[in-house]
Amino acid sequence: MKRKEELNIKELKRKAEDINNLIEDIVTEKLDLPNKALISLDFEATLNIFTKKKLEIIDCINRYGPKSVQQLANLTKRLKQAVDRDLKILERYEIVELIKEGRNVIPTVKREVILFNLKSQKIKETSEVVVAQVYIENKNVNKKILEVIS
Amino acid sequence: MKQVEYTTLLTTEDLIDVRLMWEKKGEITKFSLNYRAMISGKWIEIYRVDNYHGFLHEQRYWRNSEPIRLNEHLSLNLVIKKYVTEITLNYQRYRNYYLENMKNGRNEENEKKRRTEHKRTEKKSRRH
Repeated sequence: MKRKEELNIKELKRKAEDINNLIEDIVTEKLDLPNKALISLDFEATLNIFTKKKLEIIDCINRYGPKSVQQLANLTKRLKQAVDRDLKILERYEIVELIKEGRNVIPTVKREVILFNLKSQKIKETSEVVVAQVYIENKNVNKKILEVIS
Repeated sequence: MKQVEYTTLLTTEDLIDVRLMWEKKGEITKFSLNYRAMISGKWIEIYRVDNYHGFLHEQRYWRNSEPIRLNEHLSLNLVIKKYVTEITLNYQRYRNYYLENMKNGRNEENEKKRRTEHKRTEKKSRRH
């Protein structure tokens, strides 16, 4: 139990250091971070949110601007229910906004997403999960993500 | 004046919104750190520290939204560093305080209700 707590504190300290390093790099203008970016410092959060399919959804919205969830489902060649479920998760993390217009729900991308691999932690590839080492020198982050996964 | 705002995910249910403003390279002039937690499917503000209203203050939403003035004798850059570390090391505790107070009906929403209720009764008593 004590060991677990120690590990937890170590992990939290690492996260604090990562956030502080990032702030320093931003204000010393080493990094040009896009506004409203979402940065994931947590391995589990990254794996849960940024699956290949969800990143494909983000890409499809950016590229084709679908006017309904059904249209998005057609573009991604997936079932509407599955796309809807993923959209709800993306909405929860404020990555996607779902705008109601009449009977349709129009998905739009709200944020630039950055899967930030801060020095110490490597994100490993599994069949479901994307290899996400996206470097923030690249301004067009969403595009870069797609380059990484394709 | 340069400005950036972004969100850092600590876990799937905890995040910090960061807002920074600076004029000279490396010298922050304004900032805010806002810890939010996912509670019952919604992002709820739990703790905030900022200097946006001309003075450094924190808001502990598990009590109420009243700003608490902070006196720090450090440079703003170090103050931010201090509070980033404090939030990251203590967010689980803050979340638990909020949940406990929610159980006891002492969270912000209830506080607001209580305050409006209080104002109403005050108005009524003045009329009488």
